[in-house]
Amino acid sequence: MPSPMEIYKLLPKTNCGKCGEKTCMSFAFKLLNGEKRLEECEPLFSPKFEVSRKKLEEMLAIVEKAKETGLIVNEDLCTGCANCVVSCPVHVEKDPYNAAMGRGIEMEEPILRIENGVVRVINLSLCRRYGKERTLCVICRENCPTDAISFVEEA
Amino acid sequence: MFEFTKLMKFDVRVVVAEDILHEGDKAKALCSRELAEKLGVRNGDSIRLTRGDVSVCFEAEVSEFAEGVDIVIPSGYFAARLAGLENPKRFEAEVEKCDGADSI
Amino acid sequence: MGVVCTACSCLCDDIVIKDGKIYHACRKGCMLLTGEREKTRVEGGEADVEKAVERARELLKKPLILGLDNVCCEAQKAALKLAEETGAALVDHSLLSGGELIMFARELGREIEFEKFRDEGYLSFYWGANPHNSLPRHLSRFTYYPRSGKRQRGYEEDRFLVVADVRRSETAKIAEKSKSGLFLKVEKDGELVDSLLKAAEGKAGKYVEAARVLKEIEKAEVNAIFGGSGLYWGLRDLTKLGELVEKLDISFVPLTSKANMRGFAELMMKKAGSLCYDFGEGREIGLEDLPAVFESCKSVLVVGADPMRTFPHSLVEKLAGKDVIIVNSLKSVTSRVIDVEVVIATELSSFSGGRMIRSDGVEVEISSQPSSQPESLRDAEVLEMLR
Repeated sequence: MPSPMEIYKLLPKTNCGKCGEKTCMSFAFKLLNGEKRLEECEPLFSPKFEVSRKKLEEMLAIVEKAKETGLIVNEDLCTGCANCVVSCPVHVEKDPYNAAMGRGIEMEEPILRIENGVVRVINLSLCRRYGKERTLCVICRENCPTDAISFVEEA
Repeated sequence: MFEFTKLMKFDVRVVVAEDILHEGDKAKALCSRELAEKLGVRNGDSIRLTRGDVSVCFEAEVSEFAEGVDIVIPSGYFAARLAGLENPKRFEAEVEKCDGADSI
Repeated sequence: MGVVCTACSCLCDDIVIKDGKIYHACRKGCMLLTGEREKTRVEGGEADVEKAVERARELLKKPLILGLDNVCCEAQKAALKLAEETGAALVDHSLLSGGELIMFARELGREIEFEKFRDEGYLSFYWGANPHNSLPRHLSRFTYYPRSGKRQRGYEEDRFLVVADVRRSETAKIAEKSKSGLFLKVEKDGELVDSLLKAAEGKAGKYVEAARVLKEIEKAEVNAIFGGSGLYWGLRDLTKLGELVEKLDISFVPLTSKANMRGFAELMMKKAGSLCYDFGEGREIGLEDLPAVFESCKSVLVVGADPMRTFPHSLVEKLAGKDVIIVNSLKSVTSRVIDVEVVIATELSSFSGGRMIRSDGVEVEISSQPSSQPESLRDAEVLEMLR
């Protein structure tokens, strides 16, 4: 997973403001968390920055993939105990009469669900670790005794 | 690892417990870190457990879940070979390295 | 109503099978629901049920009826009647997996239903049990993780988890890592019983953490010890455990992992006054009697069990040369490794309908489900046919 500094080093570093951000560093942060797209930096698409732009496109492709599979389940270690499903604060809020009470989760697209005996990632966009107002939530991982769950940044 | 560990035999405490992830057609056993270091065993190595006149070879996995005892074997066919009526869940056995784990 | 999973004695009734996927069942449940199914055969060749039943009836002489912990109450009753009629010895796995804890709990009369604990329970004390493997959804459905009833603030504030075990199991790891948990590594269970009794009198015993357990118990009215087979084998004599449970004014629930071991125990206690009984000799069967029982039978009827996986081989080897009949839904190791005269394939217990009794004594209705093998008979039907 690239850092903001690694992204910044490949940007024009002119602080021109055309992307709507005051500084290129600020743009680098917002690229990483998905609030800005590479196309919003006009100078980057001039021939002068072609090499840097290609490198940035590769780096951000990794970030995109991480966002899709940001939570990794090692199925060989999962017993399907559902501790993660039931303890997830988002599930508790959105499915109070099923998942929160320990029953099979009923909400349409939960973050996690037990399918065929192991936990599957269904809809990570609801997870508190991702998105604009993200928090460092580790509840699912902490309640898995076999360490079947890990987060991409650590993998 | 020193080769002479192949000649070592130790008395060990064995616990039989349900283990969904490790029970199957191939004999597997969880080994504590302490025993693994003593015996010179790594993940995938084979160990022979002998109790009385019965021996079974297991594929060892060094595991935190064997901490507190020496060996944990999943309840199932291979545990049933070794266990006796006096206490089918906890017993003592002799352990040594061997080649290849038993399978059904 | 969902499908009821019969892989363990949680008897989870919220399983959904849809579009080729199984939802909410743990790995153990899935292994049961997707396991390779048995085929009816006589002397190795495929046969129809009528022929197999006919051959089995010929072979059933001075039988040992073995298993019965994974079949419904109706099948257990049919097996009991068959045992009475044929003078069979009736043996399940309870003598080896702490079935005495069921008798102990019934006599003590301090059990609690899992749903009530889910709604009101504070401290769950798993003693000699590792539910993470034996009853995988127990913590998430009933004890530590659910937010329900009076326990809306979940495991962080409204629950406390104690695990006493000889090793640091998966459940012990959860307790150890948590701020609202405690792992007691125990060498001798009797010493922990003593320590807790002493702590109740304000004295210190070998395990100083016993005082903390008591302090936590005092925080709430509803607390429970869930005792597994490790507790039974660690103590054997349960007298002091009974004193402890009374002294702490706490609930006690036996945790047996086999789906309907409780059902069999209830039936046998009512009909024969003991967990296992020899209807031929007219006497109770204890642990020390098992070798003689296995030796003296002429035929073995295995019902819903896999003895080569669950009974010590020093016992099972005594069945060599005897006529073996298996009544089961899933292919077993036993049918692979020993010579079996007759195999009668039955419907999966999760689909066959009937009743089972959960670990906490609550009866669970198993609804009949469409099956991939609709021609398979239910265990109870086959056992009736054998009479």
